[in-house]
Amino acid sequence: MTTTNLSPQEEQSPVTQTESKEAQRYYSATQFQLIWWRFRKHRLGQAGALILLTMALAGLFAEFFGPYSGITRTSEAVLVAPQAPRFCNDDGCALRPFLPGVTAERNMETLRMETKIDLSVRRDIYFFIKGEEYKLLGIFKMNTHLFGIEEGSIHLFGTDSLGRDIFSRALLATRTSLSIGIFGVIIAFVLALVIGGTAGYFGGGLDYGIQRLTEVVRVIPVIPLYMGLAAAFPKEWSSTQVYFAMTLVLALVGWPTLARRIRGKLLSLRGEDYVIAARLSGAGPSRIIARHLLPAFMSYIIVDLVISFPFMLLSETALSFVGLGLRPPTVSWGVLLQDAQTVRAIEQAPWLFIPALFVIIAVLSFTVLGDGLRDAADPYQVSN
Amino acid sequence: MIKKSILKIITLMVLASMMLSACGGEDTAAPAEETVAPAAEETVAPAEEDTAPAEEDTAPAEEDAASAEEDAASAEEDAASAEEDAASAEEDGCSATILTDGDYDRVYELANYEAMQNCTMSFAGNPDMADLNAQIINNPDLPPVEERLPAEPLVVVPYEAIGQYGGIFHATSNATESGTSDFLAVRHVNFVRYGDDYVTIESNIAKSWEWNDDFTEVTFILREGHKWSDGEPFTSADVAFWLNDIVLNTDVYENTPSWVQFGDSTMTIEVIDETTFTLIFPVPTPGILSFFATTFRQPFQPKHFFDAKVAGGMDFVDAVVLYYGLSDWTDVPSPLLGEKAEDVKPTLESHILVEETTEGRHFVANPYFFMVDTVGNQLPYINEQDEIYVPDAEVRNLKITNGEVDYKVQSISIIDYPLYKDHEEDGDYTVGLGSGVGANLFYGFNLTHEDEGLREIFMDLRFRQAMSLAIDRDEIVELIYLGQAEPMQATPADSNTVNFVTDEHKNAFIEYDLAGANALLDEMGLVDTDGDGLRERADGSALVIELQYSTQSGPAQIQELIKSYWDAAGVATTLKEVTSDEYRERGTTNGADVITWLYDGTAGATIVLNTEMLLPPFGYAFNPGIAYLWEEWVRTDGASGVEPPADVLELYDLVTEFLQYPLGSADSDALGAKIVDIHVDNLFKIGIAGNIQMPIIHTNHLHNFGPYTVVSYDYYRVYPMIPAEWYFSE
Repeated sequence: MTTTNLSPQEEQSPVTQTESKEAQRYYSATQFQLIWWRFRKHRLGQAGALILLTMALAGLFAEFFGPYSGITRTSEAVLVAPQAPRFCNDDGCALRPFLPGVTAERNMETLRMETKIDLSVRRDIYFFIKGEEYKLLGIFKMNTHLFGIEEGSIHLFGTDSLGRDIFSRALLATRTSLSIGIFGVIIAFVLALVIGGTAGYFGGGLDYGIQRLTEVVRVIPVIPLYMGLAAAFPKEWSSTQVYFAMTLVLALVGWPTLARRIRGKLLSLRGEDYVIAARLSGAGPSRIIARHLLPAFMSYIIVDLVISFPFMLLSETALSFVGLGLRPPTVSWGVLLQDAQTVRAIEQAPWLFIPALFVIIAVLSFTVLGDGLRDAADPYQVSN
Repeated sequence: MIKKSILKIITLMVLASMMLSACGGEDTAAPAEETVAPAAEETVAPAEEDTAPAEEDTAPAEEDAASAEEDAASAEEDAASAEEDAASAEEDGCSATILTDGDYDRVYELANYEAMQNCTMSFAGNPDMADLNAQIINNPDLPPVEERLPAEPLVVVPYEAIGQYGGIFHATSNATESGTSDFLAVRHVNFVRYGDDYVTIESNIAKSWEWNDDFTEVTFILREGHKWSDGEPFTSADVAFWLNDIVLNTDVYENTPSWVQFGDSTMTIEVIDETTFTLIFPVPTPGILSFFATTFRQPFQPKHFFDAKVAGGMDFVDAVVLYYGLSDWTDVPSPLLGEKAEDVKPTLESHILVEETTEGRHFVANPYFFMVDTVGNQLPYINEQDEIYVPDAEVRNLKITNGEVDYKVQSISIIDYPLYKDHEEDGDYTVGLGSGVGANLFYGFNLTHEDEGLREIFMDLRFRQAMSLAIDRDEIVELIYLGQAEPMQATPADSNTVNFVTDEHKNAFIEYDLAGANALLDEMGLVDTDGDGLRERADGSALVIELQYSTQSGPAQIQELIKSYWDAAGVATTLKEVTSDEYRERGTTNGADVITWLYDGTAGATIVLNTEMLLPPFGYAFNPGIAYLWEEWVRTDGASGVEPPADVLELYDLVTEFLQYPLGSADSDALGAKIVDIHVDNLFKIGIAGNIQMPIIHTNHLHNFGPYTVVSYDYYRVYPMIPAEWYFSE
């Protein structure tokens, strides 16, 4: 939060005619550059950005990073516990990692699946191994996976009650959930910006009309709306279409709050001297809003966006719950966590909760990233 | 919704951690052993004394009184009266027989029992009964037990031991009218009941019955001096009142319920005297006894109570609606909920409602209950029943694993068996497995679909055969039912309780044969024309089946498996989870592509009278069918709907005839076999697995639980086991 300063000049008044190269660069920098420079000093924010980027990449190339598709069932490996690759066993060590022999057997008294590990068996892990065929990014037919195993199957995060690999499913879910979150927030943001900006800048009758519209959208109870839409989605739609529709729905009910805030802020700012100056100089409304008004409270918008992201994530889970949600084989964090929401899972298959870690990490990363961006974007913040 | 699900997760985690910390193990296990020990002694003692003279036999009764004394240490007066009761039993009592003592029946008429044992039974009541009676709304003061029991009480031979009075039975349901039937059955009574062999029909409210030669008239004899829970006499007039003034009263039921309609007329009643009446049917109806033995509907209502309401100025129909309820279900909220009235109608059941809120219900023992044990103690042993509503399945699971639920069979599934088993010791309960009766998981395509294209496809037998062959039942049994079920084709009659379902029926088209399925679909002209791996309809348009399901029929994973099988055969399937209500709504309004549920109403005891699963639409409100337009065509005599195929029309004649023969007779078996042939040949419903095992849970301090191994709503759950003689050992 508190960063070491990159521009000691700011402490001094601009009147000081320090003609150093550094200072010149600073004064001639665009706002974006300034934000970027400041953000570069925000370690935690960068860490958040890095984690999110990794997650996004992992999600985008989920089929490559994961050894199996999301629906492949391994009937010999139902509810097996997570297995960590090893380098050593009693026979010695090797550079190539391996998995011990793993069998899942049903205890005929308790009917519980029990994982048995045989350390004497070495099942080597290979990289860039040929496995199940898939389409990378939906286009390129490939069958190379980052890692895999030749005998039996490999389940770093264990398997669920149908014998599906949780690692692979978690990666696929990352793609779905992150993209729904990000696209949903972006669409809602753009809507809020346009609607709230128009209302706030022009005010008067237009503002009145838009405010009533906003109220109409706000008073629609969300759950019945979801359920109505659930019935409206045609069954012929592919899971991709359902997924896009869901993103849209989330965005369409998500904009009013931010729109209200932007409007209020603009209403108070539009009388400022610099706005009048810009108007007198002949700048059009869109230029004034985008160049002069929005940057004034950019930090505020960023905080709002960051807060909405976890909300989008949870909305998707809730939607899946009322049946509007994603249809198998599409998986999301919400879908995966629903499987884990049982006493049985908590006690007997805690690895089903691993996707929850993804949610926690993603939400935290967004928070620290947002924090960093906010600090960087705040024009009033005087760095020490 | 969102907040709720977060809350849910947090609560689960907190509860789980609390539970883990509470699992101290040793502490809870030790007292459990203690409580079991005295009960074991009790069961062994009388067994040894089987042939001993009557004097010694009273010893256990004395023990009981002594333990009752201990229990009621705070209320010394009660204890004293218990001693008195025990003392009177000492003089000329009968021996404390239990079932394992010898070749005994489960129930006896008093006179028969006394003759067999060569003794005269004297009666004892619950020492706490005066207090319990005081809790019952508007009940008068308590007469002595001899005056409360009928002149001829039903003698129940206990499974384990003569019980002891006291305790509160803790039950859990999902909501006011949801998931309540396993608890309802605990206090239920009717004219007759099935014995624990699920074959013999035994006496209950009715002392005996007699058929005429052609099964059109059955005469019941009630118990002399049998009383409602308010002490008023229960007579044949109460049965006639139920039939004539409520069920056949068009002011009450605008449409006469189908379950009193036989042939083209209704059942009628002829009252002979206070304890004797005859039910008369227009056609032979041998199945009516099975109906009474298994239905939740109680064929008697307290006439005196409604008469008093009318005398008090209340409109009769209003009184019926208020106190009896008009839903076709027994467990509607009482007037106590929402304070619509301050009383409830009296009952013949073992316990009577004294309190009802949106959180749960409370019952106390019926002081006038008609059963006694073998030494003459009036049943029920258990003082009070407390039912709470827990809508969330996981919270119910936590309550069960904590040992807070005394008995549960409904709304729990085999998939949680390992969880229950893990906590058996620290929760101090026992979990066993029982077989469902005919509860076969099935899929049925809507044969009268509004979409003509889909209807044509679904009506093609090859399609249904292919969809059946495409399913890997072994995998479903292993993954979903933990291996505790058998792959089985769906039959409208349960193979365990009728003779006419053969292995050929059960094994038709159940092998996993994807190639065969593909061949059949190709032959139909359903081929993949656009190369996406999924078949199109013959006209080239998309073929997509929407599978709407509720998790009440089983975990969602089943549906994911089914989708993967049908997708693999090239038939695109989309999944949609809905609530049970929405599923039923869509199903019964001909709005579903495919329905999936567990078969019910297929037990021998049910199909002898209830033909809902035998005839179109092959289902009912709670378990929707697959051919509503066929049913409409038949109901409207062809004016609207869709004409069913010839063999379905033949079903109507076969079923009508089937009802007129007693189950198990050669005629019945021959007709039944023809009915099942038509169903299975057509694969109206595609069965997945049968004999699905289900968990049966009861706490270890609940005794006389008996060899309860059949989990079936068709036999009204625990009713055959006589739960009135359950007791607590502490």
